[in-house]
Amino acid sequence: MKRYLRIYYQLLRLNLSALITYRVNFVNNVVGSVGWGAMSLLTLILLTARVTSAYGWKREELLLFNGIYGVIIGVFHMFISNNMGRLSRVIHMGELDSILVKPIDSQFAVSLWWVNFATVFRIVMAAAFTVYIISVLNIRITGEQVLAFSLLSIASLVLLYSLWFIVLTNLMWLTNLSNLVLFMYSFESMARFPKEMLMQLTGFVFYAVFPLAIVINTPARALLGRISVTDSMWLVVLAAGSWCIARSFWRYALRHYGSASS
Amino acid sequence: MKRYASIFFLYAEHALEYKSRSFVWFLLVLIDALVYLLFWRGVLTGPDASSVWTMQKALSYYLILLVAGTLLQVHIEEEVAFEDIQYGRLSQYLLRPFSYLGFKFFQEIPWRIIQGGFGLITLVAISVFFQRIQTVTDLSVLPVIALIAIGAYLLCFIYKMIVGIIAFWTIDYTGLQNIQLIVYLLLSGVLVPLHLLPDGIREFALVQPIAYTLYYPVLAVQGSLTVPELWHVVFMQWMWIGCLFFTYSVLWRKGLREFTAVGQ
Repeated sequence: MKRYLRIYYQLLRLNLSALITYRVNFVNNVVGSVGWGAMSLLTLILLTARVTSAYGWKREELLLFNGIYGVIIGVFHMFISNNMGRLSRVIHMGELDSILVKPIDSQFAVSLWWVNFATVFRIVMAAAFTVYIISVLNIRITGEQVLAFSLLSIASLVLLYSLWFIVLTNLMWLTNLSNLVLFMYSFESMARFPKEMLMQLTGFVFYAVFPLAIVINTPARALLGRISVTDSMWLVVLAAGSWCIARSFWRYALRHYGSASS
Repeated sequence: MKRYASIFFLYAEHALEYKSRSFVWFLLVLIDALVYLLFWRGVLTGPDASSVWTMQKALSYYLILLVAGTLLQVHIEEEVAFEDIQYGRLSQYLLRPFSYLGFKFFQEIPWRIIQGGFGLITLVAISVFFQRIQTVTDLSVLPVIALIAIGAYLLCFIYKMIVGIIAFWTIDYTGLQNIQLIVYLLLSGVLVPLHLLPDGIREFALVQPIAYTLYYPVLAVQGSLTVPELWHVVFMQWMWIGCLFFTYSVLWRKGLREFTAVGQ
């Protein structure tokens, strides 16, 4: 564990050096990251421009929900999603070998190699928006609520990571579907709406979407003091279970890696 | 023309070989349509229901948009910017006895047909098995609607080519690409129908060229436009096609002078 923390510290330093070296690239990433964060909020502002409520949530509450989504997803995009894009590329191009020969855990190497510092701006923007809406709605937030939110957000990040990783591990067999990464971006964006909306779905689609229905909803409700123990348990159990599945599936998939591009 | 037909068939083979990729692209559009439909379902069954829109109209809007988004929305800009201009592959095209614009035009069509096919199958399946979709009933206007669809494709194609060739003047294109994608999503009616936008933005959104690539074609198929309005859309589309084609020609000539053919 200590060794991996040391490696990760070095990776953070390397990513920071890259940021300073390729400054135009950094500015571009900031524009993209902040742009998509703003887009997420703008979508909801436009959708609710002529309505006052949806699924029992007032317009301001929906916007608050979107702000919280921005914070959690921002952290996920900062540490994980760029690496998922890289994973799809290395499998597509048959370059995974160069990662597998490294004397470290391969899942660690494919999941945490890159850090997108540009996303910090998106997180700050979403956090500021959340605080603003909380003040507009005059909601009192206690220390316990913030603590519950933080702990459940970690479980959410684990769940999100596991979902992405399980889906992208399939690329070992479906090598030419590198656009699955974009599919996951689109799929995850469903989490920015209230649980009641996603619960409208039935059958297979409901089970596919269920993790997304709780991944942002549960920490958001914890922050607003509307959380139940059952909701929290669902999130924690699902996160732990998905993590174990993702880990086992990756090991299984590695045995089938053909080392050839699509 | 025979040469362009060859390009079309060559890329049709390519698109058929990678049809699973096309299916994933289709799923991206489907998820958006599904999410917005679910949202409107919550709104339109609430207290605001009658004053804003009807569920029947929302359903037909987003499902027709699903077909239009997959059939008419061109995605050529990234290839033009990254592979052709930034990696220097454009040289190969310049040496060939084809127009670059014509080559890209016919290269893109098979992908649109396959993805549009997925969209059309979904629309028909929902219409037959679940709920009838509100579409145009007057068959005499179908030729005008076909003209609008062709105009929308051409307009979107030239717009995306302009976006792509801006890479002649940039070192890193990703920021621009993100901004243009956001602008396109906002102004094409993908997120919210343009007539439901807040006052001020709406007036602008309804006259700019991007609206004529998706929003108006969807309204036309929905049967929400009168015959004079349909012809007005055709006129506006060709007016914008003319303007954008002129812009493209100027940028292309100037851009070629910037092109170093060694990649960036």
